[in-house]
Amino acid sequence: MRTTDLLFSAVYLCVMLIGFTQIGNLTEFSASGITSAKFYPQLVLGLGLLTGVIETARTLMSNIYAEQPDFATTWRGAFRPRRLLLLGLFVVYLLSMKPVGFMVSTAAFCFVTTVLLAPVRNPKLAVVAGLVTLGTLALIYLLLVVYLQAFLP
Amino acid sequence: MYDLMLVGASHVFQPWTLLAIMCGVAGGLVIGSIPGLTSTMAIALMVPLTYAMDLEFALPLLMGVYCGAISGGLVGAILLNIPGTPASAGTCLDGYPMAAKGQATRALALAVYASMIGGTLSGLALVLIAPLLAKVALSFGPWEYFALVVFTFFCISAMTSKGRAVKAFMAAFIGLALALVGLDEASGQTRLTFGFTAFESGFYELPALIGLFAIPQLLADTDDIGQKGKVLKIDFQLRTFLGTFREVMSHKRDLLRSSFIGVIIGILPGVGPGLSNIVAYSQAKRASKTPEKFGTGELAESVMSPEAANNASMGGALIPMLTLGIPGDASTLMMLGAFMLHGIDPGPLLFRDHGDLIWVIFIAFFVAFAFCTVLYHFFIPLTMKAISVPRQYVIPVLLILCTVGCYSLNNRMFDVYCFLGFGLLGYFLHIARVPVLPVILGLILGPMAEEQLSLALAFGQGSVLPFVTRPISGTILLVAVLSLVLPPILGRFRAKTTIDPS
Repeated sequence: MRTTDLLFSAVYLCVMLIGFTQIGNLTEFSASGITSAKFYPQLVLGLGLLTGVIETARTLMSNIYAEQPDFATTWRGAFRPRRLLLLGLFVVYLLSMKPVGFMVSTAAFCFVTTVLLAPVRNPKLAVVAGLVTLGTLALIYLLLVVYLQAFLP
Repeated sequence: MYDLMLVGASHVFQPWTLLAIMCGVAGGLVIGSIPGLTSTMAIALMVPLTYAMDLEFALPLLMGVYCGAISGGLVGAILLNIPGTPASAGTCLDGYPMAAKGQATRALALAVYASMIGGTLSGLALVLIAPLLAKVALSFGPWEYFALVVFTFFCISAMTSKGRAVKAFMAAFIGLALALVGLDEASGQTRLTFGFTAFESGFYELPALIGLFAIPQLLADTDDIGQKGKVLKIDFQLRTFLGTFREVMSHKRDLLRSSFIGVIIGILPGVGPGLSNIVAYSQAKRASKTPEKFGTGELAESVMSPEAANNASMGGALIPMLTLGIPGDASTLMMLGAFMLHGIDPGPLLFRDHGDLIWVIFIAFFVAFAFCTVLYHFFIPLTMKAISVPRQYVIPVLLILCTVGCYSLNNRMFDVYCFLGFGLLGYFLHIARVPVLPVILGLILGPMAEEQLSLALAFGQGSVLPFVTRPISGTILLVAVLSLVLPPILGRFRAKTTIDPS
């Protein structure tokens, strides 16, 4: 867990540092005339950086990590195949929405995800997945288009 | 006040509004009963759909979902030994053993009636405390508001588990930094947009909120696919269920204590039903004449206390949200998002300018609990089915509904991509065991903090002294610092006295 914490702190510090350098490009002008336009952002990002440094030091010096799961265990849990599969399918779904159309991509995502996530695949699963897909599409269409008169993506 | 109450009542006691509350409660009960799907998720799914609705209709509906989803967690806790929501974690400890002994109907009835009483008492606290606090808050200046934001972050850090207080602060700074993105209205300059015009309007709170909570949760839920929890079979009898009400009423002291704990913990920013049910359980054990029977499923108070407390937290959590615009927990954070979606800024001015809406919320809260109790008498068999629905059917549907909800807010794909982006951020934080709530609080309270700090400095001619010299602001900051500093000092002192009693 120490490695994970250090990794998090490193990413956090990098992001805060990038933000801090960007704030330097702002002009001093502020409508209130008392505080600079840079004041609050620099306060937030500066204190954020300070907190990151404190956490990094705490992580390096702390002795609580002996009884916690190691880096490999943590990341094995984070990158479980089903989680990655769902995430991957969801990203593909979002990207396909514009070229393919909302209804088609949603139907495909719902059906394929249901089938691929299932522990055992059989014809009954395909039927149920089809019914769930149809039900979801009908619900979205009736609720958004017919009842709320909203636009679909 | 009475005329506003009547106006509020006239909005709520409309057939369609009552039906909306009932549907909200029913939907909340079903979603809340499915382990892994929290009340936050239930409200997240519902909030975008209320966009096209009138506020007088949308708020009661959301109150129904809120009450139903928190209460729904008890079914999974009692029949599956897995709490439907974190708010029901304490209910597992005795509810499941009681059900396993063949007293499932009794356990469910104890939990349902205790929930109803805890929720009603917290509703009374909400009605009594919120207007008074709003009156006090009207005298608050920018110093007090900024101090309240600081207090919120300190409070959340103090409440996080050991060794994660600094991480909670880091999460808060991530949220505050994300709130900086976009156009700074005071200077007319864009900040942290990195040249992307889409970023100039900043991040819309709701897609961020839904993404941060829903995506990590749904990804983690995939681990449960294929794992069959053992649902206890019960012979549900309405007569036995109704008969337990008398047993519940014979434990007034436990109900009052747990409800009080729930309301107080609910008021504290950043913590809510998830903590109150455990605290109420431990306090009930401490006060019991037979503490050794806790955990065996014999005592009624061991099932009632956590349920009374978690429902009591709901009214408590609404108090700071409505009066100060500071949410008490993740679910009220979603409710705050719903208010913002409809162009309403919660705070003391809401009580002055939209008193009727406040009463709509108050009355809808009570009506929702009434529906919740009534529906539970008939919904137990349905919720039992809901907790055993295979996850592979639920997860994609919820992801799609979240996506559609995020899009329908502004009819733009940017919000959907933000939903995904914040979801990935939430997942990264989940891996690093960093609490997500401070990120969202930072994102929502960031603009308020910036505005109030600028005003305070402008009024004080650049001086920061009024923050500590003004009595209310100084007290809030002192309490904030003490909330962070005192617990470790007291913990060390206690440890020392335990080791060396002399």
